[in-house]
Amino acid sequence: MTRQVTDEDMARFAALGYPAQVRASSELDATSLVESLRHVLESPSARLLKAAALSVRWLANHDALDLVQEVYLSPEATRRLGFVAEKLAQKNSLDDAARHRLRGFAADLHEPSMTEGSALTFSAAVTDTYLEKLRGETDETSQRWQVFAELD
Amino acid sequence: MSLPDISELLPECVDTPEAMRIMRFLQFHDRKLSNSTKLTLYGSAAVSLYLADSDNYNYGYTNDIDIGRMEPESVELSVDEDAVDPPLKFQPFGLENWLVHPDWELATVDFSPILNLHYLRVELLHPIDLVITKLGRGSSQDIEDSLLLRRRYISGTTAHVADRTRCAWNYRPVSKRERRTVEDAFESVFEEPLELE
Repeated sequence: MTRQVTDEDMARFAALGYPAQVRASSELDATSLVESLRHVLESPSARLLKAAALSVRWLANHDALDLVQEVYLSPEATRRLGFVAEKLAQKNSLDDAARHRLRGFAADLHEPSMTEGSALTFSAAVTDTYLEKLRGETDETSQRWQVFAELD
Repeated sequence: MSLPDISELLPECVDTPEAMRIMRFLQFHDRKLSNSTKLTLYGSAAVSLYLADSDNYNYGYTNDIDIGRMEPESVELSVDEDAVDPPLKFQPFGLENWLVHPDWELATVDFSPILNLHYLRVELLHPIDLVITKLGRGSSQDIEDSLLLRRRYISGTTAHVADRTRCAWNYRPVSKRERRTVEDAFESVFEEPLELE
C-alpha cells in the first residue's frame, strides 16, 4: 500500500488548519505526517484535534500506524493518541480493516497504570470548571484514557 | 463602558508561523494600496495576532481573515495569487451575526505598528470583545481561544466582562437557544457563573 500523501490528502489537512510543518512541506510523506502528529499530541490545541484525528485516520487507512510506534511519545501524548485511535475505531465511516488496525493499535498503547496521572484535554489552556464540564459529557473511551475532548 | 488599555501587553514582535503568514498577507495588500485604508479584524486571525509572540503555542492555520469593518468600504482587496501555500483570503462578513457589544468600534486596538504597514491601518477587536464573540459560539476552539486571551489580556475581576457580555446579549441576542451556550462558555473561561436575561 502506498504511503504517499496526495494533493487531495493535503487539501483535507489544509482545510482543518494543520500547522506549518505539514502545510509548508513540499515533500510531505508519511514520516513527516507522523512528526506533525507527534508535535500536536505533545502540544495539543483544540483547533488541531480534527487534524490530528485525520492524521491517525490516514495512517490507519494506509496501514502505516507502525510509523507512530517508532517515535517517542510522552505518556500524556500516548494517552491522547490512544483516545483518538479508539474514538476513530468506533466510526462506521472507516472501513473494517482500518477500524481493526485502530482497535489493535489502541489496545497495544493502553496500560492500566497510565491513567493514574491527572486528566488530560486536547487544549492549550483549560480551567478546572471547563475540565469539569468536559468530564460531565464523558464516554467510556474518555474514561479509559482519562482524556476529555470533543471528537465526534 | 470603557475597556482596559492593553497597549503594554501587546506583542513586540511577530514570531509564530501563523501570525507571520497573516502579517505577510496584510503587507502584500498594503503594498497595493495608495490611500489610507482601515481594517478591523476579529476571529481567529485576530487571536493569532494577539498571540503573535507565543512561540510555544501550536496554533493551526486559518483559511480566512474576518473583517468587521473596512474604511473606505469601496476599496477592493484583491487575492494574492502568488501567495505560498496555503492561500489566505479576506472574509468581509461583518459582525452582524455575532455576539458583540454595540460599542465595539470605540474600543478597537491598533495593531499596525507591529505589522510594519504604510497605508493599511489594522485594528483588532479589543480582547474582551473578541472573547465575547467567542462565547457566542462556545466551541472547544472558541473556549481555548478565550482562555488564551484571558490569560494574557484580562486580569483581575471579571465583573466588567460579565457586564459587557450581558449588554451584548441584550443588544443582539444571537438566538434564545444559544443562551445556555454563552452562559456555559463564560463559566468555563472565567470560572464564575453568568446569568443572562
